[in-house]
Amino acid sequence: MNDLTLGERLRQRGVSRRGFMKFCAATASMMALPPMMIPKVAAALEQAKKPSVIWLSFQECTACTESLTRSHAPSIEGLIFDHISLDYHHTLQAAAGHAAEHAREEAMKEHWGKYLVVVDGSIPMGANGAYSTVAGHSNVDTMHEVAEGAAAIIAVGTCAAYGGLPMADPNPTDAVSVEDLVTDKPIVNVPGCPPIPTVMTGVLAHFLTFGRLPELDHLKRPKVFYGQNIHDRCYRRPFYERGEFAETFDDEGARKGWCLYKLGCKGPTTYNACATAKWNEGTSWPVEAGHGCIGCSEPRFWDAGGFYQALSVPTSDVGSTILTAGAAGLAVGAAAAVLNKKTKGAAVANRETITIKDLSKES
Amino acid sequence: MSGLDSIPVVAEGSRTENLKPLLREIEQALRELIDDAKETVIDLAAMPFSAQDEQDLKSYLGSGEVIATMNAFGPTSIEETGVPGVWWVEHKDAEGRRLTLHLEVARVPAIMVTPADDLREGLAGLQASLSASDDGDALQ
Repeated sequence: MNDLTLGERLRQRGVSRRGFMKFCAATASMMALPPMMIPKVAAALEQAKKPSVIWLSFQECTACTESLTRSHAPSIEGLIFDHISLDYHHTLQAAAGHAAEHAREEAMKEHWGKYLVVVDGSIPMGANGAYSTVAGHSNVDTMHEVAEGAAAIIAVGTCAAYGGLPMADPNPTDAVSVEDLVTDKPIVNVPGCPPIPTVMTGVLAHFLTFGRLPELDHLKRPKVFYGQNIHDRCYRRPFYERGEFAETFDDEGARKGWCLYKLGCKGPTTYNACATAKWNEGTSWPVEAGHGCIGCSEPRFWDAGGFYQALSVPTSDVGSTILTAGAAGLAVGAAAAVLNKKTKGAAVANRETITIKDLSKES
Repeated sequence: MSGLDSIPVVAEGSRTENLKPLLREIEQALRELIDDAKETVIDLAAMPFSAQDEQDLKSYLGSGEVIATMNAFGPTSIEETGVPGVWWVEHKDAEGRRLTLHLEVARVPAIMVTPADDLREGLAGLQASLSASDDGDALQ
């Protein structure tokens, strides 16, 4: 049964060839691939074998797993997950204690060099790793042990990708991200607090389909999902262009769905797929619900100033660069993106708020 | 009147202003279909496109002559718009939730064309059935 390809498995379930093409169309859409790629996706998925996946949960709140398991089923996500061999996930698996650890060790031995590792949660380094242990082993030891035989590592959630909340100032456990610890394996970061379920499954589907990780940006995020910022894809963007802003959460602008920039929306500096993928089966997303983006897919977003303060930029020469870009007619998103890429981490300490006028295209 | 009804918030149908560029894309795709027989599929989930935009687009394109339903891995509705060669193809899962919404610019949407392997299997099945009926005179 485990040797069946995905195509064979679906046919065994009674899915017809047209049904398979429909599955591929939905999978391509989930991977943010253009529809013209559907035949290639179909050819690849037809032959896709079932990969072994070891899921490690470290210093986390389980929201990443919650997000994933609440993706609607029976669904494309469900079928993708049916087609991976989730050999270890201590929140979901039936086995416990020694039996659970034995399952992980067996999977590692059987699929050495080929298995995928999914990590949610940051890794505490303080007190010799004692802040978080599983089965008597520190997270840091487990991470090193499991990473050694992995084909690739997928860090899901901002904690695993960039340290997240545990790493926020004052970082009491000396938490680090996966890529801080593992430097000799291919790593893909799927940040978000939590990440969008279809983004997580989209990355797995990409690996299943093409046998490799998707193209990544400079923060190791898949470009297909994190290639554009929230601001550029936001349906409220036209209000921004017209200078129509909500000033409070209950004013006329808020009622009319105007831009939330002044209420602290971090859309211009945040790269994620919320604006198109949305949440809860595509029902809505934070900005549509009336709350600005908090930038949860960006490194150190917890320490990037208040969630309700208008976006600020450092007072360095990069700040003047963004103003110049505005004057030159570039969108704030593009300018802020450059800023975001160049000054991540170091930018937090020295900030001042810039005004809408500073950022407007017309200024 | 429920508690929610008493909340004094008027939800306006939001628009992304992507409708006009999309219509131009459809125009270009139609031209390519006529000139080069090139088919185009546009995934409406791949761009910011609100429910209001979708409603506006449906009104703008209107309804055509062909409506088809496919039942494979959940229902799929296929409808030609008032612009011949421009089709709505909406895939849903078994519980009726939308998987994808495509605008397809083609003479016939690809999903409607019978797969070659299905043709061969269909022929083999029919031949086997005819052969059995010849033996047993079941059709007489």
